[in-house]
Amino acid sequence: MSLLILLAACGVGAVAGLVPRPAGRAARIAGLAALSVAFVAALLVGPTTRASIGDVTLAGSQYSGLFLACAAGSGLLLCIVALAVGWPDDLAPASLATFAGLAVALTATDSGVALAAGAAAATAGALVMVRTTTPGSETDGRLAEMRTIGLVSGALLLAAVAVLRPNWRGPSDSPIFVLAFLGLGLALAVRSGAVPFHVPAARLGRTAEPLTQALLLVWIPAGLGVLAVGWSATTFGIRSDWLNVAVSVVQVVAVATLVLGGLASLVHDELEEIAAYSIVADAAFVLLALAARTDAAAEPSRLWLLAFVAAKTGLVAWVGAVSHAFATSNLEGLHGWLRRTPLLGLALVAIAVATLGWPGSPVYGARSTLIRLALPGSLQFLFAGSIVLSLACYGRLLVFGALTPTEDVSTAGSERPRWAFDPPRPKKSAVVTDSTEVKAVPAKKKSSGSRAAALPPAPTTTAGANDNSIVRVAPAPAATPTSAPSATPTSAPATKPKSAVDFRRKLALTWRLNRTLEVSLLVVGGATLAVALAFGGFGASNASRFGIPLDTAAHATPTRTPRPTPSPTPKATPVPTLAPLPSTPAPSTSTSPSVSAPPSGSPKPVKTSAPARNITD
Amino acid sequence: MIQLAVVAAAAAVIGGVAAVTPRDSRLVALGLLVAMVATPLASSREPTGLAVAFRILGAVLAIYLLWTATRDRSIESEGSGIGATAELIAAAAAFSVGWFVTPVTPLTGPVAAQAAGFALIALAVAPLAGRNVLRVGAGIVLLLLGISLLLEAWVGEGSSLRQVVLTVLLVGTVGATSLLLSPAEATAAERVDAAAGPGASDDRDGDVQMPGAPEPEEGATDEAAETREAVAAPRRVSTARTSKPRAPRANRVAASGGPVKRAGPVDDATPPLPAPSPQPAPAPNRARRPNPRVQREPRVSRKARESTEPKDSGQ
Repeated sequence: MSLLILLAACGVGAVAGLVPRPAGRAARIAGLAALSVAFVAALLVGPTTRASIGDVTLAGSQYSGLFLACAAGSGLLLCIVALAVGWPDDLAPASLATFAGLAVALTATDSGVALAAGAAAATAGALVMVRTTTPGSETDGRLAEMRTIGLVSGALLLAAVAVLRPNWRGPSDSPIFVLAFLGLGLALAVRSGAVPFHVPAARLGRTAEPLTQALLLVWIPAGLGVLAVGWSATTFGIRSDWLNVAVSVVQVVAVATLVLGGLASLVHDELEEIAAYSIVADAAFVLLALAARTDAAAEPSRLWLLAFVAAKTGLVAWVGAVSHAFATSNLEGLHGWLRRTPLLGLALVAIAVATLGWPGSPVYGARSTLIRLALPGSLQFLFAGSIVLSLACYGRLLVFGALTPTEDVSTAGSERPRWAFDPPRPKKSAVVTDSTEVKAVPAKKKSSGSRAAALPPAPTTTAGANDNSIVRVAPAPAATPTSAPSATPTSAPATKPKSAVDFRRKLALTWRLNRTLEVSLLVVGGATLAVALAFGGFGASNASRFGIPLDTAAHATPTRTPRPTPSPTPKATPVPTLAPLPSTPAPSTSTSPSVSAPPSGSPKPVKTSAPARNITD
Repeated sequence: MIQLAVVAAAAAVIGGVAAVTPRDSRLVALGLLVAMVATPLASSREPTGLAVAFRILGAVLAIYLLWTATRDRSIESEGSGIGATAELIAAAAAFSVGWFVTPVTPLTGPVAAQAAGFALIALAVAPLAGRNVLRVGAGIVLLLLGISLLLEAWVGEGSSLRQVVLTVLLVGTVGATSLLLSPAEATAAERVDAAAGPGASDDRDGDVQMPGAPEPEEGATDEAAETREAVAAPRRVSTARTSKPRAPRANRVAASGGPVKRAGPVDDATPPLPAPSPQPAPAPNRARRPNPRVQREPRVSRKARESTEPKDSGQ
């Protein structure tokens, strides 16, 4: 039932958010309400959740429920942040459409349905592209998005052809498995912006609506990653020279993405580009999970995907909050941001911790396990290298924040609480112009000026770009020289009788004055949840053991040939590839059983058309 | 007796050819509609009524989205670079290959579905490499249709939920195409016509003044320099258009000189100076006539206008 509620909420919310153009208050409310319902419904999805549509059963699992809840919660958090920093009209509908597709993909027991639903979910990205740019210009991302949709959809359908296992006539069906593996790898690489498909991803800050990097680079690739990881061990764990070559290609792409993405995040100055490259670099771990081709990589990759969704959504929200607070997203203009918004600094540290962890933490173990299983021994140094690059990226942002504040940063609003109920302050602290524009005094003037500036001289106020720094006050009759001839323009707002101002309006004004603080608290909250997930909280570690129903079905499907899957054996024959299959089953990051063990909490294997393992040589 | 699947497969291929060959968006939409409607009929020997009805409903919805996005904006596809006949021959060749090869034995679905799948995939390759959103979208839809035909020919007719999801995927793809066909795309088509005129807007290269744009800084007030600037504008546009790969249609329009001729006002206004480009003979012009719905007054930049008017020095 909860699954149907989730699908209904996503469908209705997406339509309700798209119909009113331009999106007004109703569309925002509909989007937020639908995301809330989807979040709650996803929390209720569990191993006992089932829904039959025709002859296909949608079966929930602990992991699919947690993943969908994590994605829907991230979307909800981002939309709430967007309420303060600028609402992108299509973020909520596109997110809901994507979540609906991912919900079907992660709960379907038919692999053809799952992969087609994943492809359908990827098409929602077109909604958030900026469509008013000149074709061919640098800010025109429509063609790139169209090609991305085509590549992802075609590759996933091609993979579906292979994993559904037709009765191939040839002596070996390795080529079709190679095509399927490359299809999954291509879909993941293109959608997550891996090298060499990184340019459209880096330009998303200009070619897509604000904050939509989370949808295009995090949520959709992560959902596809969950699908791909399931197939990695069961379907592609065969020995074949051609498949080894394909695995090597994916490994090269993953390594290049890991290194170049990390380096690119160090040399760019735009926050959107830094965030995009940071996300792209971390998405390489999903490719590594696909290339590992072993059950041992399933659990760490699932845990990593949860942390990836939460932490990178937090990073996108952090970028939006900083850009809104200081009205710039260029790092050169953001010197000293940390001094003005220390809570955002705390959030950035939490995001870094959620992404990297520390030795002994689940997310740290997941990253190290993925690299150990997917790459040969000579490339194990990349684990340390990725950590160093990520630390350098986050450290660079923090160092810039600790520098002497620029003028823009100094005059922008801080996180200091402001109240609209304070008694009037001396007149000199407020800078009042003829047009009754009241400007906040810079931080150096201390709070007296700011508070006095924040006083509500008249009931009607309009929040500007920096709501807490500049408050435009509509001329009130009491403030006019005619009605108050003895009062100068400076003193008019302050001398207005306090009783005349409604308490409710003061409360609203206080809410607006503290917009930066509210957004910072939201981002801190999201980053904290990301840390909790990354460290195995909310049942993440336990859920990661089991995966989605398709994994269970794939493992339960009998093989067609007597030879077992070439799971890691102590005396594995070296294969001519960059990454030989691991010689021993890699230790999991937790003491939990491997995913191949029948999970006690998962549903019984359902009748499915999932692929059987095919052993050809 | 000719089976329904064979007829539907042939119709799907013809629809595919119609979707990738013409430049008129209405014909593209019509071709896609034929292909999308015929595909479910070709994919099974005994298609399920409900699944076929759902697929057809989805096809109509998808094409309606595309139709509404293109009807008022005169959006055009690039059209085929090799012509309809060549596209048809290529599709027929791929169809024949698909008819005779047997990669899967026994074939679960009709062989016509496999043949049509091969043909549609072959038709989709060239559009996917194009730079026109509509053409790329049509190519993606044909690719998905082709793969779905192969899927059902090799694996068998899928479950009803798979049909639903495939329909959603196709509607989503066509919807994405129609969404990404923004009005800016229409101005691109107009720009091909208008850019030939002096002062025409082409902000892609950033060196051509937009009509109504603020004047440049001081220093550019020299009369001779302004005259040179006004004359150089069409040349720069011309260079810009040839410096990067353009659509075949744009190249044909540029070669035919038709729209360039319409940019006459400024050419006439600067008679002593050489014409920016040679005027070819008005003989057979393969360029498509501009749509009257988007035809506008020839735009002349303020700079070019000032260069033709007597200068008021103010001294």
